[in-house]
Amino acid sequence: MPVYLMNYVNQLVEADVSEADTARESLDECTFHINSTVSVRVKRHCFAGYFATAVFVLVNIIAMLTSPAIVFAQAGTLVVPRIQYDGGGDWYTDPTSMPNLLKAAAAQLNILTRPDNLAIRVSDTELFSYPMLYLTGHGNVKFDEVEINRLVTYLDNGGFLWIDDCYGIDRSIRRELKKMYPELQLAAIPADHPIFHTVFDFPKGLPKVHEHDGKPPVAYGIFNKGRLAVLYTFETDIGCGLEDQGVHPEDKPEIREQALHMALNILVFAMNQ
Amino acid sequence: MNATIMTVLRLLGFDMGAIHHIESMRFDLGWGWAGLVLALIALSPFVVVFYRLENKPRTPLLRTVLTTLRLAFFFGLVTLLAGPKLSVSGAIPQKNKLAVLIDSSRSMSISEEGKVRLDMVRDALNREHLLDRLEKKTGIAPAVFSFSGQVAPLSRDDISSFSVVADGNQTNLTRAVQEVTNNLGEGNLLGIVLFTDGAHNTGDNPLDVLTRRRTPLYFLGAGKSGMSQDLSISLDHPPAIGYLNSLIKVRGEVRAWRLASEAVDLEIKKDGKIFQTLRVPIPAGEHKADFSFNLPCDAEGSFQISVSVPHLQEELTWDNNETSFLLKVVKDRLQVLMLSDGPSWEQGFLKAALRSDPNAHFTGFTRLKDDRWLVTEDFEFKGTVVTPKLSSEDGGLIDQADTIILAGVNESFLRPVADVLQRRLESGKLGLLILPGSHPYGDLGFTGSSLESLFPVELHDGAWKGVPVNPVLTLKDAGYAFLHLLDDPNENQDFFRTLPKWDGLYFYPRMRPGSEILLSSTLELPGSPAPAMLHHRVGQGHVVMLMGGPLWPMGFKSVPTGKGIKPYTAFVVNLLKWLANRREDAQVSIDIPSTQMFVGQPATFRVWVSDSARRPLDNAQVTGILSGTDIQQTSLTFLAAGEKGLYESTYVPFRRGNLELTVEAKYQASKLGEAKGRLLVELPTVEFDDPEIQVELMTRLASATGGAYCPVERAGELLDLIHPTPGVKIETKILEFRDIPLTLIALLLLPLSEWWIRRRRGYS
Repeated sequence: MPVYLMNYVNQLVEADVSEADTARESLDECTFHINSTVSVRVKRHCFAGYFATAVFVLVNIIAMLTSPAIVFAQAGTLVVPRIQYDGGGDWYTDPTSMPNLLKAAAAQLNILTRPDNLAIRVSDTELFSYPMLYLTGHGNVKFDEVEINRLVTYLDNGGFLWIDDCYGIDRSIRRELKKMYPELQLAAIPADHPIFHTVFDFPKGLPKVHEHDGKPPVAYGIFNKGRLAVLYTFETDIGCGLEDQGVHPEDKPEIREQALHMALNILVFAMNQ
Repeated sequence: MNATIMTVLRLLGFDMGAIHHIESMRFDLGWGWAGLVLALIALSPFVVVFYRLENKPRTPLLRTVLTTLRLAFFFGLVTLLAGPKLSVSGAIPQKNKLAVLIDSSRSMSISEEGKVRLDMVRDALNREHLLDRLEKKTGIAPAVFSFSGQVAPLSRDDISSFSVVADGNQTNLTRAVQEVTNNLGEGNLLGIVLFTDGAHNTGDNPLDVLTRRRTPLYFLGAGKSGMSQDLSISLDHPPAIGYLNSLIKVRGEVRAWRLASEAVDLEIKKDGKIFQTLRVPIPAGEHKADFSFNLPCDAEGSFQISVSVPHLQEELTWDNNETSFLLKVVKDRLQVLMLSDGPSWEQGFLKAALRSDPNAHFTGFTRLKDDRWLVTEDFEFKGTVVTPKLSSEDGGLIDQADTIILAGVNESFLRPVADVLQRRLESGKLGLLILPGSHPYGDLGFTGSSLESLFPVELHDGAWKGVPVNPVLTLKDAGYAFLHLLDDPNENQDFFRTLPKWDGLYFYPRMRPGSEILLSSTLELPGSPAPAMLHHRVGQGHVVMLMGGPLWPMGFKSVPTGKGIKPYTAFVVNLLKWLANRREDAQVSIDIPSTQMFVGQPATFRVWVSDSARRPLDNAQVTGILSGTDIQQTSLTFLAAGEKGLYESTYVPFRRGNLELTVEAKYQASKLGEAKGRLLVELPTVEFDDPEIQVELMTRLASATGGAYCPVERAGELLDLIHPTPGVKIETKILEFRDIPLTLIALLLLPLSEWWIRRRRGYS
C-alpha cells in the first residue's frame, strides 16, 4: 500500500475515527501476508477490505485534487516488516512483537513509527522501501537463489537484518547465511559493543528472555565492510518478550522490559550505525 | 524658385528635415474641401446680418472695409479649424554605404588542397579587384573591416598590401554584423559583403539575431567541405582542487575529423610523466565522443595535468592536441557534524555515503525523548550525553566542522553557539545543510532568532505537504557539480525525475531574497512548482535546505532499479564537500573557479576579504599582481562587487604560460593579508573544433536577409546578385498650418485692425 495512503489511515487513527482500525487491518490483510491465524479473517473481511481500499483511494484522490495542503504524517515514518520465508518455519510467530516495539520506539525514543505487523517476501518489489527486516520463527528457513542474491544486494547497500531465533531455526539460518556470505563468519558480538549500550545499558551483553536448551544467550553478527549487516540473537527469544502481556504468562515484567530495551537498542543502532 | 519656396517654408517655421529639393507640393484640409465649403455656406447668412447691422458708418467704403475685416477673420478662423496642411515631397539621400567584412579568425588559416582560406580572400580582393568592381557597380566606395571576436576597420592600403592575419581566437558573426550596422546606420547600408568560412563559434546565434535585420548579407564562402583532418581534445571545467586520498573525476571531449581508426588513444600526464592511457571510441558517423577518467589524489602538492591525443601528419593544427590544467591536492579532512532531533534512517545512510570518502569524518548528536543525546564520533557510537558540548573557548565541534547538518533540532539547542556558527558561515569556513525535521523550522523557535537569517526561506507559516513528490532539476546545465549525477545533461535531468518519490515536502510561502532554487518538485502550487532544494549564501558560506524527504530512498530504493546507490553517494559526498567550501584560513582569499584560462578571453578573479573576526569587510583596498615566465608583470585593481566582502577584477590573458596571482588587501592603510593562486593560460582552440566551412549557415542567413551566397572563387558572380537601389529616396513631410505661430498672429490682426478703425472714427 502506498505510504501516503497508510499515512492517511494513521491520521484517521490519530483522529479517533472508529472505522480506521478496521479499514487499515483490512487493507493490510489484503495487501500483505499476515499470519495464518488472521488469514481466516482475511477471507471474511476481504470484501470489506476492497471496499475500504476503494473508499480511501477515492477520498484521497479527491482530497489531493481539491487541496494540495493536506497534512499527512511527516517524512520517514519507521516500519519494520518481517520476512515471509519458505521452508516450513512459522515466519508469522510473535505477531504482536514488532507493533509493540514500534509503539515503544515512538513513546520512548521520539521516533515516528507505524506500528504494524507487516510481512514481505524477499522477492517483493517493496523490499528496498524498508531498510530494516525482522526474521523469526521456529523450524526450517529457506531462501532460493534469487532471494539469496537479493538479500545480499539489500544488505550490501545499507539494509539491516535482525534474525531472532524463537527456537529451532539455528541450523537452517546458519546454512542460509553461509549461502549469502560464504566468506564471512557469524561472529559473536562482545558485550562492549555499542549495540548493548546505545540507549539502554546491558553490561553483560545480550539478555536472556526465554530458556530453551540451557545455553547462554549469544548475539552473532555478520560484519560487512565495517558495518553490522546481520544480527542474529540466539538462545534468548527477544521477540517473545516483546509480545503482548499475557501471551507468555511466565514472562515477568522485568524480563519483558529487558527484551524491549534490548530491541530498542537494536533498532537505534541499526538506524544510526 | 525651388530654393525660394524652401526658404519661405523654413521662415514660416516648417521643419523640412532631410529634404533638400522639393519635388511636389499639395495643399489639403483636415475636413476636406467640401466640409469647408459647406461650413462657409452655412455661415454665409451672417454676412448679410453683419452688413445690415453695420449702420453707423456713413460711407459705403468704410462700411465695406469693416464688414470685410470681420468676415475675413471669421472665414480665417473656420479655415484654420478645418485643419489646413501642406504636403511637401522631396528627395533625400539613401543607401549610400556598403560594408565589406573579412574574417580574420584562426580558422581562416586552414589550408585545403594547398590553399589557405585567407589567401583565397586575398586573391578575390586583389587579383580580381573586387572592391573596385563593387564600387563601380553600386557607385559606393565600400568600407572594409576585419573581424573575428571584434571588428576593426581596414584601409585600402591594408587591402592592397593585404596585411590581414588570421590570428583571431574566435568568430562572432552576430557581433560583427551588429557593430557594422550600428556604426554605419542600418538605413544607409546597401548591404554587407562577408568573406568568411562561416565558422561562428561564440556569441548569440546569428540565425536568431541577424535574420531580423533588414541589411542584406552577401557571403563569399572561403573553404572546401570534407577536406580537413584534425584531432582535438578539450576538458569540461577541470577541477582546481583535489583532496588527498580521494579520486576526482575529469570530463572532456575528443573531436576527430576524417580519422582512419575508430578510436583515439589519450595520454594523461602528471607533471609531464605519463601515468594513464585511455582509449576513446568514436561512434560511427560521429565527429566527437565524451570521455572521463578518475584522477587519484595520492600526494599533496600542485600538479600540472595534461591530456593529449596523438599528432596526425596532415592535421589542421596541433595546438588543440593537448590541454592542461593545474590541480592542487591538499590534505584536507571533511568534518561533518550532524545534529538530529531523533533517530532516523537519514543518519545511517548519510554515514554510509560519507564512509566512501577516506577523508570524511562524521560526528553526530541525536536527541532521544528523555533529553539524552546519542553521540557518534568518527562514525562510531560513543554512548549518550545529557548536554552535547558544541563549542568551547579552545575550539569545540562547531569550530572544527566543515559542514553541519541540521535535522529538526530546536533553536534553543543552537542558541549558545549561534554567534560562532554565524561567524564561521559568513567567513566561508562552514557550510550548512538543513534537512526536514518533524516540524517546520518556524515552529522550532527559529522565527525571530539570530539564526533566522541563515535559512533560505522566511520561516513563518511553514507547512508539511504530505503528497509524494519527485525532485525536478530546474536547470539542465546546473552549475553545481553535486547535481551532475550523470555525464549527459539531458539524461541527468531525466534521472532526477525518475528518483524514488519523497513522502512530501515542507512549503514556506516566501523565499529570502538572493535564494535560488536548485531542485523544484512535481508538487504544483498556485503559480509554480513547490521548491524542493534551495540554496542561500551567508557571506562566503553556503546554506542548502532540503524541503522534502526522506533523502535515503534516493539511494536505497534505487538499488533494485539498476541505478545503484552510487548516484546517492556521489550526491551526498559532493554536496557536503561543496558546502564545506574550504576557504583559506585567512582574511584574504582568492576564489578561482578554474585554473585554466584562455588567451584573449576575459577571466574574472574574485577575492574575499574579512576582518579579524572573519566577518566580510567592505571598503578594503584590494590590489593584485600577475606575474609569470615570459609575461610582463601586471597590476590589477579589485573593485567591490555586489556582495559584502567580495571584490572582483577582470583580466584578459594575451599569451600562453603559467601565471601567479598575488592579492593584497588593506583596510585603513593597514595590511590585512595576502593570498596567492596559480593559473595556466592556454590557446583557445575553438576555431578548430569544427573546421568545416559552414555553407548551410551562410546560405540561410543570406536567404533570410535578401542577400546571396557564392564561393569566394566565384566572387565575380556576386556582383550580378547585388542590386543597387537609387541613391536617393522620396520622402514626404506634412506641414500643419495650425502649428505656425504666424498664422495665429495674422488672424488676430484682423479684429485688432477693425477695433482700431472703429476707435479712430468714433464708432465704438
